[in-house]
Amino acid sequence: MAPGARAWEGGAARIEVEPSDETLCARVAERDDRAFDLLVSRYQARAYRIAWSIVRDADEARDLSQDAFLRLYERAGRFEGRARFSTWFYRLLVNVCLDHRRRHRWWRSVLGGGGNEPDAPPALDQHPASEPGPDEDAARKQTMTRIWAELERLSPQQRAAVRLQLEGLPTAEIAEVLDCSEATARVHLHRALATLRKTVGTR
Amino acid sequence: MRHDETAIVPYLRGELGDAERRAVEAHLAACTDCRAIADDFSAVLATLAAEPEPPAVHWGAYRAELRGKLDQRRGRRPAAARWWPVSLALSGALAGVLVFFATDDTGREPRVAELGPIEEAMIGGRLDLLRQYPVVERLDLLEDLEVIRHLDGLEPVKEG
Repeated sequence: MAPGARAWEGGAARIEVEPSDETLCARVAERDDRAFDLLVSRYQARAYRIAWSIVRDADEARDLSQDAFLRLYERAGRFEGRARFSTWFYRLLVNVCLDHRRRHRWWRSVLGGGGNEPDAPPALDQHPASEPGPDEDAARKQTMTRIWAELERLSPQQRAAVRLQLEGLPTAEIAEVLDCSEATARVHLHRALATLRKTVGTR
Repeated sequence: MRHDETAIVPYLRGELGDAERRAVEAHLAACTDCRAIADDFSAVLATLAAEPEPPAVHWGAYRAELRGKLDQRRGRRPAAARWWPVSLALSGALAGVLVFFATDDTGREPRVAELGPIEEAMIGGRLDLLRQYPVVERLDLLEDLEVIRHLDGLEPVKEG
């Protein structure tokens, strides 16, 4: 089965295979609106969530994620399949968001607004995070609030890296999305977590 | 001792190959500082994994809005805008009906708003006559309520 394809059994002898993202993208390049709609349905929530993580504004995230889909429609013919579709699309999306932030940096500095966020994922088996007990719930919420505030201090690239990590992208793919080396992506993640680390402990 | 701290996150995420993973594990076992970093990073990752979701979106409206933007980009009017000729025709017809009734003078007294121009035209045609009345020379007197109140009591002017 092609990467990204999903299959299910609808009957004893019937197997339907959903077209992969890459196949749908090829159809979008041929101006297949149904393929476009299907891709949008698959990625709309992730696109919105990633955009929101970077710009931290629901309306902007909505607009920017839609802009990314429009860019996808216009550039589908340029997708050569050398990377996964998701990587290619996330790169479009992150670029749209970072371009937006660069354009509005001056206004943000004047108005004092701005902020973003990031995120991260699962911890390692060898270093599991301690489970908070009932008495620790308030402290955990307090920590989350501090981390939430601290996320605002990260660079957009760091926020994007953390968010993409939460979406399950490996570091090598995050590097592709951010158009940097894997070593640089590791640095983004390390610095982001080093900043956030200050909020979770006494170290 | 070499502290490759940037390998800690990939290590926690289980991304490293065997050789690098073993190297990191050996280093963490011997380096208290890096072990502390790994423990804290693990806690941060767990906290972030529980971060709030962004505000909810109505995906049907989202896709409809996206479809409208796409139609605009392609030079095609959005579905609603494609009905504008029908809307324009209906609006024109309605405007025609309203104009017809508004301009139909049959059996109708002129409205108050129309009396101003009519009166001005009539008065303008009789300016010569009006100039023969001495009172016209002091029109401001007609704005004086005291003068108006005593007009009826004035004695007729005797000729000669």
